[in-house]
Amino acid sequence: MTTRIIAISVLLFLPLPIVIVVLSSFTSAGYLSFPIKGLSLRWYGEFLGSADWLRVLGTSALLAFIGATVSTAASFAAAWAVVRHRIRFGATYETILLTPLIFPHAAIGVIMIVTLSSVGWLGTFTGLVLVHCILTIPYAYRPVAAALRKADPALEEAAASLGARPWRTFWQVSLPAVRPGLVTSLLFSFIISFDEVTVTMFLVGPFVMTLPVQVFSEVLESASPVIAAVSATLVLFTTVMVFLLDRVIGIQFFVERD
Amino acid sequence: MPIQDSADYILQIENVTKTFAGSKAVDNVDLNVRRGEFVTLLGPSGCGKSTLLRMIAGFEVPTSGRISMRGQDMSNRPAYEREIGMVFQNLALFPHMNVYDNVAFGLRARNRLDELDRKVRDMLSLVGLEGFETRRTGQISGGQRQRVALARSLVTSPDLLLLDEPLSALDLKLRRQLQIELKRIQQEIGITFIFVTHDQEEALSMSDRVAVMNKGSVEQFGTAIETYHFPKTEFVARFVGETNLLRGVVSERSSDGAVICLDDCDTQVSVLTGTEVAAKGDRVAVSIRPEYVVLGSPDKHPVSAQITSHSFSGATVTYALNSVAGPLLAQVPFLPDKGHPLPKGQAVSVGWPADSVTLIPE
Repeated sequence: MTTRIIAISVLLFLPLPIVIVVLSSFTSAGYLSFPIKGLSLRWYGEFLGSADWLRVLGTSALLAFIGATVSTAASFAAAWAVVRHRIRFGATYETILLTPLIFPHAAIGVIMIVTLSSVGWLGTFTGLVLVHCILTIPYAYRPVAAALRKADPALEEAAASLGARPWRTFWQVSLPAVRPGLVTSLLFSFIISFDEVTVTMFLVGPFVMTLPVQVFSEVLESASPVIAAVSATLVLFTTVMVFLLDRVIGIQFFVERD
Repeated sequence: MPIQDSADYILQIENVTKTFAGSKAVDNVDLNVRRGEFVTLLGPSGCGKSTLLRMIAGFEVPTSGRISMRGQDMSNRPAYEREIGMVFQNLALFPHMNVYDNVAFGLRARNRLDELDRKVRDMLSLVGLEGFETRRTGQISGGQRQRVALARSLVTSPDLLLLDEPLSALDLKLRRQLQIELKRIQQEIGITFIFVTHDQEEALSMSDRVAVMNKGSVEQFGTAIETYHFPKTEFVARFVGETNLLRGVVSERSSDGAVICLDDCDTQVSVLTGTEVAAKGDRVAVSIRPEYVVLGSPDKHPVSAQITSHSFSGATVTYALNSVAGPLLAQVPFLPDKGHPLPKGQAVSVGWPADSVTLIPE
């Protein structure tokens, strides 16, 4: 009984900050506060009416889209080599791909400042794309590798025995067989990239800014409830993505071991 | 056999060897298959039969030797240019396509789009799956999946179909039913089947010729009747059906047979078949199928034995016997009025017709 109470309290406590942020975004007051004073949608109006906010929202969305696509394509190619062609040192290679997960983000940020400035990409969109690919590859690699391990290699032999050339086999058999894995990889890396703050902070500049980093710097300067409105929108967006993911293929696809 | 033109053979396998990491999976195999034949590659798991089939399909490249089809060398042809059909052990149906699209795949892949719909529907009706077009492959039974796999491989009208243990996952009854159906379809459309199995009954009942494989080599290639009644090696005798193997020495050798001394010449066995490979004094084995062993036999060389156990299987009863020549199995008609089953320990004299004995060199 006691454990049950603890479990329920934890489950209620975990999403509490999110609930507070979402609630405080509906305040009519001119400053961030909780409990809220008066109900209003003015801060959503402020967010969606601001060219600056919409510009960084667009940047973040485009960045996440390109990053997720490139990461997923690269992960597919890597997983194909490791799983299908059983290349030498495949396991080591997989570990290296997953290192951005455990490497301290502050360190990655510093390393990337040095690396990007040496090629003149610091503070550019291209630089952010490159870094977001590195950060999202661990999330993109696992689902696509798991899907490839599950897919039956005899399918490709069956296609060949039916007269399909390698290109047709790839597009009509190999790729559809791992489609759930590819969709999971795309959505997950999109979410990771869209929400990424810690490394991106080091790399933004006057010409490029992402939504989460903008939220962070606003919060340092002011306590305008527009931040809560932006955050609530991000929460809603991420929830919708995860919900979609679960409906399309089931969340356990990402969680289970490969 | 008269010398045949190579054009009579749809498939010629010459001195084919396949080595994996230093060990020979297939060892110097020669095999010629005629058009329209039903040939089975029979052997235990690991004997190389699947590897041989995969080389014919073009999924593995022989380490040495040559595989030709329709008189043309196929060594450098990829699988998709070999114009064969194949049914896989796990079927390998495309999970993201429905039954119709699975069957249509081969026609689309080869860009044969004329009358595609008619051909797909004809093939579905040949295998008895009309009305299943829009089903997903996960929504149909094992036997139906089997039929989809067969229809998919036959729709392009290949003249050679390879089948890799396609029935092994099915239960016995369904398996028998599909065996008969496979044979009917093979005869109806007149194509060559190369069928891989480890089930000797399946091999005997379906095939025109059986290639019995062991440790990468073909031990015997002949009709089902030849491999059962005239096994050329001990492995074939034991693997294809049950048999009694008695060891001895050739004591007499004449133009129409031989006499083998068993057990220091206390017992002698006359052999009429397979004797050309043995000379007087050779150590040999003789194979006698249990169904030829007669109890209370009037044969000229009766062997005395004692019953150690029996197992009843309906129409017949199989006795395990301890004889002076070694342990023997006798499968006899079950006749209650003759006192069957005979009690354990009873002494009997056993014999067999001389023409049922086959000599096997050691």
